[in-house]
Amino acid sequence: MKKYKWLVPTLYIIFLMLPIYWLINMSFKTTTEIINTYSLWPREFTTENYVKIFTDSTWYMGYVNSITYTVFNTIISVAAALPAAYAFSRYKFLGDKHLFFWLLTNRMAPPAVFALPFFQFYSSVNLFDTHIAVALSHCLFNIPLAVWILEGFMSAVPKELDETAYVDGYSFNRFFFKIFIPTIAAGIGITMFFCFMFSWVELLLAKTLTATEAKPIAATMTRTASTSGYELGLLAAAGSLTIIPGAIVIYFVRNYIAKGFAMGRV
Amino acid sequence: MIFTKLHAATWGDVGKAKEKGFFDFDLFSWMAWTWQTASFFIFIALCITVMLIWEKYSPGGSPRKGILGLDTTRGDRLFVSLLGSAFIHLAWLGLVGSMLWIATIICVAYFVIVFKYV
Amino acid sequence: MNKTINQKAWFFVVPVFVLVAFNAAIPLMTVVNYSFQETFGNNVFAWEGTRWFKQILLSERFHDALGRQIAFTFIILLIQIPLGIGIALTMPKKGWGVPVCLILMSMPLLIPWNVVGAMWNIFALPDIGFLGYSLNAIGFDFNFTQQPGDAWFTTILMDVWHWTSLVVLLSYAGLNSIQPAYYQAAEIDGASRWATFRYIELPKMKKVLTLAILLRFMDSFMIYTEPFVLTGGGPGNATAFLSIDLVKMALGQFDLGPAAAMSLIYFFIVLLVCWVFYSLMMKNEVRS
Repeated sequence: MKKYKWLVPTLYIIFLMLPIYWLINMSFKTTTEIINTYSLWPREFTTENYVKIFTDSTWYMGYVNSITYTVFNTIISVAAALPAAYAFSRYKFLGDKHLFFWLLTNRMAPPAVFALPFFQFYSSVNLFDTHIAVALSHCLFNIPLAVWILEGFMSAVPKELDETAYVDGYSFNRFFFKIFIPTIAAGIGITMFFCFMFSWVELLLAKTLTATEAKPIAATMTRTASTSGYELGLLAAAGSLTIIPGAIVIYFVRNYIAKGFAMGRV
Repeated sequence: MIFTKLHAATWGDVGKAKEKGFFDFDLFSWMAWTWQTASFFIFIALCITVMLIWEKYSPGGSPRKGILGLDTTRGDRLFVSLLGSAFIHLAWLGLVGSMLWIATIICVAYFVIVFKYV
Repeated sequence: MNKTINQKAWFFVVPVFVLVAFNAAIPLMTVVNYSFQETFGNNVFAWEGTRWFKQILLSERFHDALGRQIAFTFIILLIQIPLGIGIALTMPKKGWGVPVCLILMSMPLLIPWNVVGAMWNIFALPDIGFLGYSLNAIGFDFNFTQQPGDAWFTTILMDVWHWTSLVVLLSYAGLNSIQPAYYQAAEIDGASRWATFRYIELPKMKKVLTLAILLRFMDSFMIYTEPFVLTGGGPGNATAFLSIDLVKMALGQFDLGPAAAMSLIYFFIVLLVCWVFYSLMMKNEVRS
């Protein structure tokens, strides 16, 4: 039995890769080929779909917009969550548990509930259709997550570290930035990964809060699909390209994923 | 998509409100406050304030293990009471439909029970 | 860890508190306000009392959507949690296989949700999609745009594809935290594979598994984008889950009052379930 153990993950990975392969396969086909024939690989190989995306600014700006607000959101979330997670992991204070749970409820709240009031709220403060609006709205679910993960990592660091540093005459700021943050670097990496991930994949709020200037690539895709018929090839190419930033991020945190998860909430 | 159409048709006015100053009252008109809902939120705020004062006079939140087998403090009991009240009201609305004040009376009793036993 | 009592710690929490409060409290208050009123557009509202709540609670449409949602979430948890644990158990523990597995398995998690929907749409189409074409070729009459059963099958398969990796990653992390000494002890005792799993691995994974169940419950209970792109809630209303129905009502028909009432009921249900989970998790934490 032990001999065939590798089969399970292998089959699972094949199952995961099949739809992705199909998407990439479609992206190299011409529209006529997609509609008229069923083929496992492109018969008439074409890069036309990609050329269109990289030359048409409504398409490639979608990527720029998505990455911009995602990066903003990751920075805001982690920066705000770091001190809060430290407080949760080191101190007891009035209402700490309730605050923690309240934060968590926002991670649980269905975005569909918030879509409409968000639209009106961000319009009324003049932030509609800006990157910062999307970045701030994604804080709703990313900050609770960041606090939660970071708190797990920080609790794994023994308190003696703090105490020794104070005995050695470190000020709080110096200790926090010079000693503590490097200690939990892996945790910060994994937190950023999650923040990036959830901000990158979210569409409902991003679409509600943008019109033209900050429109995410995902929204560009749905809109093009509805206005100019179903250009499957183009859609597939745009979809394939959205996988790339994620793949890059995973590559960077690949060592942290295993180590990070293990240290995190266990 | 659905959102674009709405933006043009129905939500056009919402976006216009922003031409005025930042701290304009228009900023909040879309929230559609009424005295009933406002008093509801004031009630919640009062509950939290009472909790804070209570905490000041007898710190620690009187933790105990209630009938649910959970370790609860005063704050937990408040949360359980409020969430439970929401469900009692909803159940009353769905099953009976009229005379909602009876549900409110049940909730008061429920509050007392939760604070005593949970 | 014994924590010191320090009320000044609140200052550390202020940024988070302000950011989340703005994003959560204002919209939530607005939803409460809307749920008691009728809208006429142009910011004109009229008091309606509890009419919308009554209407939603008694409406068949809401009952059906809620029923579908619960069934969906239940099936998802039933498939993903055991599958995730199984895969995590069989994953390599060291060597080149580890990063390969981790990277490839994380892939679905990082694809925008509407791309997931679109991808599965073209993957499952009976005429040009690999899945749909293959199923038809081996004799099934498969068409997810026409038959409700097939739509459910595709939606569930899509969610399994999309999210099982999260359970795998969390379980894998839990397994990795087990000291080798435990396994050696089990081996000396001659424990069976099942006993090792039941008495060593499962208890160690308890905490991550609770987290995994909690996350999977929350995310599948508020699923919107993927089925919206894949099936649009169809055929008919077969895959119209709560969020899809809600958005249809709020933004499609602009029935703000009923939609807000439905949002609140929806939110209360989620809140209740999550409170139960959270209490259970905290209970474990106190004990350990």
